Order: sequence, then C-alpha cells, then structure tokens
Amino acid sequence: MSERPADICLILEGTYPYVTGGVSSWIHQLVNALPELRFAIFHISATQGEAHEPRYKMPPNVVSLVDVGIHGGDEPALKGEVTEAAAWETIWRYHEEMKDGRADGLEGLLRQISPHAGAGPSVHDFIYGKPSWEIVRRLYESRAPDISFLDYFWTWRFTHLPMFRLLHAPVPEAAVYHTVSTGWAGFVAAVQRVRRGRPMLLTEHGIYSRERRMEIDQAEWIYVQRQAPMTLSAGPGFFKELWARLFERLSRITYVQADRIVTIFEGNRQAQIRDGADPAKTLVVPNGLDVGPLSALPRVAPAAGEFRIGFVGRVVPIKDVKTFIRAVKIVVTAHPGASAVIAGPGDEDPEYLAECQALAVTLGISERVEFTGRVDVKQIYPRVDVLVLTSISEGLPLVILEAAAAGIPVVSTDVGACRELLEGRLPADRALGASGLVTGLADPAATARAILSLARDPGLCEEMGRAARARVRAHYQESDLIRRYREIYADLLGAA
Amino acid sequence: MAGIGFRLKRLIVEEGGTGWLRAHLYGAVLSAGPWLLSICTLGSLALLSRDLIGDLAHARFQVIVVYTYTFSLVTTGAAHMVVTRQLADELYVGRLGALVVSYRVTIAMTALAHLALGTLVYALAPGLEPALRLFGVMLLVVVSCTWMVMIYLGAAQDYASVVTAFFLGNAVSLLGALALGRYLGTSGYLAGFLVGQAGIFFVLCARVEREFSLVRVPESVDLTRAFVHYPELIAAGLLYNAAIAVDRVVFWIGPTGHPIVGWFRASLYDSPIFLCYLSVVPALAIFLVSVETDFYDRYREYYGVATKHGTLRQVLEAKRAMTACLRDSLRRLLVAQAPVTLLLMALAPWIADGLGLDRLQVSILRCGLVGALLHVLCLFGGIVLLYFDRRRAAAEVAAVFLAANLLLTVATLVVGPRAYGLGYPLAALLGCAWAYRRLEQTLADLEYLTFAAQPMVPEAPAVESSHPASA
Repeated sequence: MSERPADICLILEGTYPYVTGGVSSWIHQLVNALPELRFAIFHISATQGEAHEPRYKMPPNVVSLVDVGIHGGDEPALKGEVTEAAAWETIWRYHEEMKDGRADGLEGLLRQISPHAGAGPSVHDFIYGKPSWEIVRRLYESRAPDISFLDYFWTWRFTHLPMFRLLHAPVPEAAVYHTVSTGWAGFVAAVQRVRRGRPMLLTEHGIYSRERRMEIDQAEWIYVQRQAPMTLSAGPGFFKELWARLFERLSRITYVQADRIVTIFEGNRQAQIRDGADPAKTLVVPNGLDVGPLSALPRVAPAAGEFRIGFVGRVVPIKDVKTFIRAVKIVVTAHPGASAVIAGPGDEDPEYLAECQALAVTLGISERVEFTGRVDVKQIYPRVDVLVLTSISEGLPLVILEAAAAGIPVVSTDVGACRELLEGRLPADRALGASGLVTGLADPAATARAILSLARDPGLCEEMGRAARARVRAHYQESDLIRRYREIYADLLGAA
Repeated sequence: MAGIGFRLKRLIVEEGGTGWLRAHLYGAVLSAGPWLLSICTLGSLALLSRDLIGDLAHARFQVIVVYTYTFSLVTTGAAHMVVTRQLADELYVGRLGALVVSYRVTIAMTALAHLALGTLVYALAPGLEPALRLFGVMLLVVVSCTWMVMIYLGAAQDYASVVTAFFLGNAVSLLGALALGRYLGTSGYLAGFLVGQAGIFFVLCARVEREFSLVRVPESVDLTRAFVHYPELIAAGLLYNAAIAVDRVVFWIGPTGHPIVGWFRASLYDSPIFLCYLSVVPALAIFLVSVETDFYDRYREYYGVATKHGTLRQVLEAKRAMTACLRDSLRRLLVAQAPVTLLLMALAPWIADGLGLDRLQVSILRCGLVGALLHVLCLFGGIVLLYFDRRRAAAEVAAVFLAANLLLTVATLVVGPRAYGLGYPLAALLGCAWAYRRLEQTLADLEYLTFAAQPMVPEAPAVESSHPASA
C-alpha cells in the first residue's frame, strides 16, 4: 500500500472491517468522513489463520490493513533472545504489583522485557520456557495452591498466549494510536504508547470488561471446581474470576496509558472512572446520525383509532423481544386499535425468533404483530407512532436517534444511554424536554403503561416528537461527531 | 459491540492409555527371552551333537544361527519400537481394525525385506552348500518375522502362549537338528533347527490371528506416518540392537576372529558372552515384575493426579512416591542380581572348565558378567525414559552405548588379550551413566515436562498418542 506512516492507526478487535455491527458502522463513518487523514488498521481476530473478507468497501484513506489472530493457529516455534534472570524477576514483580491494584508498571516491564516487537522472549519462550514456567508455578503457589493445577496452568496459557502474540505483532507505524475498545486491542494500543511514545486514544462504546464478565458468567467451558476445599483462594468460580480479572486488568492498563478516554454517554464515563480511568482524561462524544434523510420522510398518518407500535432491531434475547410482545398484548387489550411491527433480522438466533412468534400466537395477538425480517427502516419509521425498546443492555442505540430524527417518541428501558437520549444529558439538553418515556427492565406492564399513555395522548406524542427532533439536531448530528474527532485527532497529532 | 467472543474449546488432558508402555516393557523382556532360549538350545546342541556331526559341521551350523539372530535383531530393530508404539497408539484409540492391517503389513514387509536381504547375502557368501543357503535365508525370514510378531503378542499379553510356543519350538529345534543332522550333516542340522523356529513363528501367528478373529472390518493404516512421527524410536531401536551386537562383531572381524565358512566368523568371545546374557535372567524377571506392579501403579497415580484436577502439591507428592518406588525397584534389582553375578564370577573357572573354555575366556566371562548386569541397568533406564516419553533421551542412551561399545572393544583389541572383554562392561557403564543422568533430569523436571512441554496446539500424530504425557 504505502511507505509513509499513517496518521492514525486504528486498533480493532473482532469488528471493522470483518464483522458488521454498530461499532463497525461507526468506524466506517468516521474514516470516510475524515479523508484528509491516512488510516492504518490493525485488526485482532479470535482465531489464527482464518481467511477474512472485509465486509466494507475500504475507504481510499485506509493505507494498510493487518489482521492478527490470537487463539489457535500455528505452534509458536521460534526461540527468542536470551533474557537474563533479572528480567524474569521483573515479570514476577509486575504480577505482585497488579495484585496490589497497581497497573502503572507496564512501561518499566516492557522496557526491560520487550522494548520492541521481536525483542526479548519469543511466544515460544513464554509458553514453553523454564523461567516462564517458574513464574507460573510461583504465582500458583502464592495465589491458589489449593486449586487444580492443570486448570490453573491452562487458564494461564489461554489468557496469556494472546498477550505474548500481540507483544510481537506487526503493528503499523502511525503518529497516533486509536483503539476502539480496551481488552486485547487496548493492550496493543498501550504497548504502542509505551514503546513508541506516540499519543494514544481510547474510544469505548460498551464497557469491555463488563461485557466480558457477563459472557464469562454464562460460559460453560470454564472449569468449576466441585469437590475442592472452599478456601479463600479457591472458590468454585475461581477460574471464571481469573478470566474476568484478566479483562479488568487489560482495561486498567489501557486507561492508564490512554491520553484521552472517550465514550458515548455519561453512564459509561462514570463506569470507566470507577474502573480506574482518570476523570481528567475522559470525555463523552455521543454517536451521531445524518438527520436529514430520516427527518425528510413524509409521515403516513394513522387511521382513526389506530396506534402503531414499532420495534426496530435484531430479534435476539438481549433485546428482550418477549417483553415487548407481552406489553403489546396488554396494550391491545386496552386499546383495540393498536398494532405492532417487529422490524429486524431474526437469522442470528432463529430459535429465539421462533419462540417469539410462538409467544405472539399463544397470546392471541399474532394478527396484530408483524415480523418483517430484515427491512429498510425508512419503510418503517413513517408508519410508526411510537418506537419501543425493551433491551436488557444497550450502549447508545442508533434506533433512538433514528426515531428522533423521524420525530417519533420513544418508550425505552433504562439501559445504557437511553435515559440520556430521552431526557437530556447536559442542562441545555434537558431544557429541550423529554422525547420519550423510560421504564424498568423486563416489565411488560410498565412498558405497556408508557405506550398507552402515549396512545391516549396524541398531544404528548407530538410534543415528544418535536423535542426528539430538536435534541437529535442539537446534540447527535453525525457532523458533530466528526467535528469532535477531527479536533481530538488534530490535538493528538499536534502532540505527536 | 467490539470484542471477541469466547469460542475456545477447553483443551483437556485426559489420562492416557496404558498399553504402549507395557508393550515396550514386554517387548524388551520378550525379545530378550527368545534370545536366551535360543542360546540355551544352541548350547545344548553344542554339548549333545559334537560327536554326532563333528565340531566343524556344528560350528558351521552355529555360526549361521548366531549371525541370523544377531543381525535380524539389528535389521528389525529400526522398526521394532516404532511399530510397538504405533500399535499401542492404535489400541489407545480403539482402532482394532487398523491393528489387523498393520500386523499383516508389518509381517509381510519384514518377510519380503529379509527374503531379499537373505537372498542377496547367501547368494554372494562364498563357501556354502546350496541347502545351507536355502535354509539360511528361510531361518533369517522366520526369525525376523518372529521378532515382529512378538510386538503384537506383547499387546495381547498372552505370555503363557508365548512361553509354551518357545519351549516347544526350541525342543523341536533341538530334536529336529539332532534327527536330521544325523542323516544330512550341517544342512540337515540347520533344517531341523529351522523346523522348530518356523513352528514357533506359525504358532505365534495363529495366536495373533485368533486374537484378531473377532475384528471383521480392517481399517486403513498409515505406518509411514508413525515412522515419520517417531524418528527417535527408529534410532533408539536400531542403535540399541546394534550396540548389543557390535562387540561380538568387532571380535569376529578383529584378529581374534577366525573364519568358519566364507564370511561367517566366530571368536573366543562368543561363548563366554552368551553365558553372560543368561546370567541376567533374574534381573530381567525382577525388572518385569517390579515395573509392572509397584512402579506402574505410582506412575498411573502421578499422571492421574496431574490430569484430574489435582493441586501441584498433590502432583509433587505423587512424583516423590513414584521416584522413591523407582529407586526401590533399582535397589531390589541390584540386591537380587549382584549376588548372582558375584557368585558366577567366583565360579567362573569351574564353569569354564565344565564348558571347555580357556583361561582367556574366563576373564572375558568375568568382564561380561559385570557387563550384562550394567547392561540390564542401562536397559532399565532406557525403558523408564520411554515411560516418560523421553524418546530422544532413550535414543541418546542407545547411541552412547553403541559408540562406547564399538570404540572400547576396538581399543581392547589394540591393547591386547589382557584387556579382552573390558569393552562391554565399560560401554554398558557409560550407557548407564547417560541413562541415569537423563533420568535424573527428567524426574527433576517432570512436572515442568508434564505441563509446560505439552504442545499448545495439539499436534497431529500418526494416530492419537497413547502416552499420558503427550495426550
């Protein structure tokens, strides 16, 4: 591609350009909107050696793309440089420091162990070497001598192999490193920050360590000790805790090394601060939307007595579509003119889709609930009077911005940025008034009450729709997002 | 949201099979057993038949038999350990159909290879009458194939059949040789002996076939991959068998040797050294029993604790118990064998007298007795190394033994008759030293080897490995 180093190296994990989704769209939008900057992309995949096809047309200002797998793949075969005993002792001390809650030792550690990719112990040395083994043994003996050693050892291998591989990964040269999550990507960015001394920016859409912890709690492949003595060091969830702590530490390392820590809404910023981010480095840059096309859509007026409820999103458990369907049942009973449309793909979890469809039949409202499958949302918004979200987890849902642009009030559960999006974040924003109603989670009655209060009060609907339009224009324009990032990049490039 | 979901599959280190290490053990003892039994037969024939066909004819017969045994062990040695391991690996994954195929392929290949080799050698070897050439080739094929059949019988663990077959077969050989020798001279002698040995082979084959008779569906088998996968076992098998032959070969070739017929030579070294091999029967028996019972239990316990969610403390405790047991086995082996060896050394002049050996041969006998004792210890060390899947170390031990036995035996010939026989015990001592050095290292590092030396990415062996340390 090009010899000249990039301006920005994006460090990405399991997302753009190989996986579609909210974060990927956001990156695509950002890179396309900043044609004056040259981007390099360093992508981390789960598995080594899998062929990937980019799912997006690469913008011309992307000058290089590197994809590295962290699990599986080839046996690490090469031996590295000989590292003296003192250096291994530093690794041990670093672990002791982390146990005491410190995460600032990365600089000293890297300088001694791995000043640049290819230097110091190789992946092979870390995984198979005797000094490395000695550290694992000492960690085990000091932390958890009563736990299954086999599982401790393999947990160590699986948690550390990605780290060792990423230490030696060919990360492109760039003036600024921008990671779009903590975790492995954050680790790579932190390593570049230390090694190259270039500014590092973190944008976290969802809080990585918390998302991982939720996954780990559900994971069935992590060994749970059953008959072992229940000591302080060795509870039954010991290995789940090890995994979760790994990701918390990766987040903390990223927070410590990042020059700026951006997230998309206030709630997340608070979570980052609780997890160790310096408040002075944090800021909120909400996701943005090109308001024009949606606000220009002509509305299709409802027939007399008709009230159309919209659900836009993938039909998956995290969106809690079943609560939505139950709420619709209550609304239909109280308001015979009501109907609902569930607009979104169901192919991600066909079983869940089938369950939802069966639920609608059981509740006797299959006539009133339409499943559209994958559809152009521009067809949906003009025919919807209220947009409903029943998700049990969200970041900053784009559908609320879309509904706002289309002037539709929203009923949403109180997750992620939803309350900020409907009631306002900063004082000027709050002054615009509410653009929707916030309810509790998994509470069909509360969702139904909120929908009914809108169905029975067209004036309220109109008022909220106006506030929604005003809010999205004032605070959630795509152009604002681009302007903010242009500023941040310029600032960091100036520092570089 | 960005991030990689967990789709890792847990790499579970399951307890490995138990078949292959027993197979190596029995392989060692079972290949020593027939050798010893054949030495007995030869010895008996020597005593019984001198008057029958005359010293010269008997010497011609004996030298052919000795060469056949000596060199067939070397030529099959390269394949022996690999096939043993391949068999155990197949057993571990339960591919019995593959066993049938690998058995037949192995025997067929061995027979063909030795038929070709034998034909070549006996066609070129000068001074032999046609019948001797024919029976010589046949004996080579039969004996080589017998070594390979033993691998499969070791797996079947039907020792009664093996022992019976060898006793009866050698009895037939003895009687056959005496009977036919009376009328047909040397070639009749060899033919009679051949009948008994062929009988052994066919009985063993029948036994294996019976074992496999329940397996209806042969499965494909790729023996080549086993050879590619275990090159250290090829080396270990070949070098070890060469090591135990090389001192005798040096004596044949050197000024100490004298031609019997054409290329076939004998030396004063042969008789005493064969007696020495017989002297370690107690050690072999104890080795078999102690490894099979005490040590094997501790060994299983160690890998059991290591692979079944034990704590490191439990793993180290199991290692200590296993190490202690190993030292104990070694001690018992020495306690039982050393008096036998010492006694035989003291009695050497009388034994020599009874067997018609000269004074030089008495000193060779004494050296050889020590050598055989050290040799068993070296074998013990090598096999225990294989238990821990230290294939390379086992090959090193064999290489040290071979190199030392070759160089030191040559050196003794240079020094002169005073030094005759010293090569073998010194070589065995060096082999021992190397084996126990490697074994000490292995035991010191065992938990590291057990855990940290495991491949991160499961390798693709010829078949799933049966060794618990490489499962």
